[in-house]
Amino acid sequence: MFRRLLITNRGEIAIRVARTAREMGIRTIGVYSEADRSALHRNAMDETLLIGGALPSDSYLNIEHVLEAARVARADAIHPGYGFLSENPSFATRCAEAGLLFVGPPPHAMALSGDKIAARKSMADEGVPVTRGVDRPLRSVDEARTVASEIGYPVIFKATAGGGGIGMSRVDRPSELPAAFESARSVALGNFGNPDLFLEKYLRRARHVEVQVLLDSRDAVGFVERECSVQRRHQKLVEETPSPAVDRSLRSRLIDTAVRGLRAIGYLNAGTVEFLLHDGRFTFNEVNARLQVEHPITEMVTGVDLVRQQIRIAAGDGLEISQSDLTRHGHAMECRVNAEDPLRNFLPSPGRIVGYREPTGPGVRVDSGVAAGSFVPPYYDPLVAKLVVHARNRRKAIEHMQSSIDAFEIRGVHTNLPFHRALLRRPEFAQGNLWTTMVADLRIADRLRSRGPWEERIAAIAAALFASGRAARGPTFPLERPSATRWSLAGRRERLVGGGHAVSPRRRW
Amino acid sequence: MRFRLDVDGEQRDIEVQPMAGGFIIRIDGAAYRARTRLAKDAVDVRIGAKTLRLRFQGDEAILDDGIHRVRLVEVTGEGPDVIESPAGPGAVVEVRSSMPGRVVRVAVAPGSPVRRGETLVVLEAMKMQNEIPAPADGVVRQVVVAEGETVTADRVVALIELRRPSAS
Repeated sequence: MFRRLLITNRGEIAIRVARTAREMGIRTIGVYSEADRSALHRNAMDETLLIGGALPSDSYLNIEHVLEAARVARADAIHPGYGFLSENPSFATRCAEAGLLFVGPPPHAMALSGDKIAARKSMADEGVPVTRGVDRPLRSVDEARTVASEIGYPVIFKATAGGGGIGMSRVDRPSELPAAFESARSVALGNFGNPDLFLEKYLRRARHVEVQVLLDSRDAVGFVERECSVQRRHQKLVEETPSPAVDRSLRSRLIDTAVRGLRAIGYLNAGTVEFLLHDGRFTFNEVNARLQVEHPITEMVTGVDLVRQQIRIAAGDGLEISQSDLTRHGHAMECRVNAEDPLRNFLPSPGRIVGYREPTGPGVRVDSGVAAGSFVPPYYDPLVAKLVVHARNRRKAIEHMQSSIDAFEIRGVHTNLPFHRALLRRPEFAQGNLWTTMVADLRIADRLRSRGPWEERIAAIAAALFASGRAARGPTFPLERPSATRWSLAGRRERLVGGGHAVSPRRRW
Repeated sequence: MRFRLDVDGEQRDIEVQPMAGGFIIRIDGAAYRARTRLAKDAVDVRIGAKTLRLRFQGDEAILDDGIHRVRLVEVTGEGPDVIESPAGPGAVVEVRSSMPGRVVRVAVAPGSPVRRGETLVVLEAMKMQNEIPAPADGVVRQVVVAEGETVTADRVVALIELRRPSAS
């Protein structure tokens, strides 16, 4: 086993990886950007190194800076977490050249997974069902139109080099195709440096299910599926395992297919095969060549520490478990807590967290990157924490999640917790009737009116200040009791007229 | 009436609007209906399904299950939105950022005529881009931010001179 692990990520995932590494007796070295000088993940490490400016391209995405940090820290291995450099084959290659163990798949398997067309072809060759589509980049609008009419509308453009839902564009009718083609190309070019697109049949009301796989040089283990259909703009928001739509026979076919597919491309370490589930049939969607955000739900139902297995595989110690050892208990669910405001179209909400309290208790796990006093910088992903619950069955997991959401207090920045609260109350969700566009179709965010218990308290304080006439007296109000009598709408109006700007806002007590 | 309230260090802009039988409290786009009743030395506030009893003592709001430090930071009185009321044709209005972020694109230059809704500046935060539109037809007088710059929320990004009505 190696001794010094450089964790080239930030936030909750850096902390989560460090926890397991330290437990294994490995020294943890973290990295941080100028914007993360006071970030919580620095406290989780034995040592930390500054790797550059606030922008990702100057720090967490900068291969030279990260490799220099590894050299200075005398690291012998790198864990990339998710996002940033985690699925960059040239980074993995550079690590190998520098004599560093990369905790992740080999570069060639990563490159194949990252090329969506190549991945589709390899899976199809292995007999994995793929969604109807083309296996070549589309050169022109005319070519796209021809292919689309062969396949039948609706269709969806995807970026060959894409990921994270970026550059995907759904087309419902031929007249929309030229504009969608051009805009998807420019988005793909801007985000991935490669404008190439391909096209697939768009499946309406499909579910997104995925299978986590661990592979070492001898063996492979496929885990019970995760259902990740609750998405907004192709970004997952809620994940659970097992899927309410998968029975035992479908499960074993999904697991077999995922393991077979990854073996065929020479994959090692942790990987996930995503499928679309539609009319009881499943088709391959893509391979995620990294540890995933939603990995904790798998850990909750199986008791397997996925990061520990990743580290063991990378170090050559191999898997500690086999497919037949694997047991599964109950139901787990994760809500991604993002610093964005669901009442204002999920507008990013970076800033200072002034109050923070996590839910606790049996069956609750919070993987968080923040604490009271943390600053959430505007430069990175909005994910601040993951709220994970585990219970005997799905119904109990939902109840447990609801009470945990209410007990999760994050003040100073807006979060999407009110969205989760509203989603979990929907009858469709309770029935396990999930599909990838349900958030938009059911207009869940549009119906939100309240940000939850903490803000209701602020509103109550505001109402009381107003009703008692204190607000009308300006920024300073004397220490007196509110007058108990003569209180009416007219009276309040009168007091307001005399109030307002009489006292300078600077004079506080 | 609008005011800025600081509760335990968290500042929020609040608008209170009296209505029959109570108030509407608006906070950043959320709206809460509240009914209040003044008791001897306290105020009972019914909000949502709960009733909370509050007492004020110094700068503290005392509730049954907790004490919050409350400061009224700023009171801006009554009146409609800043942009619409005093700014007639020919007036110069400030356009502010909706969120903190980095300026990834400045789409206009001083002197550019703009239509209402036209993008002036594109901000990026947390991997999401947000376009700041012109609030009305007019001419750009000044662009206060530059590409690459990081801005806070509610910062002035441009000044727009509203267009005078033509012949009418």
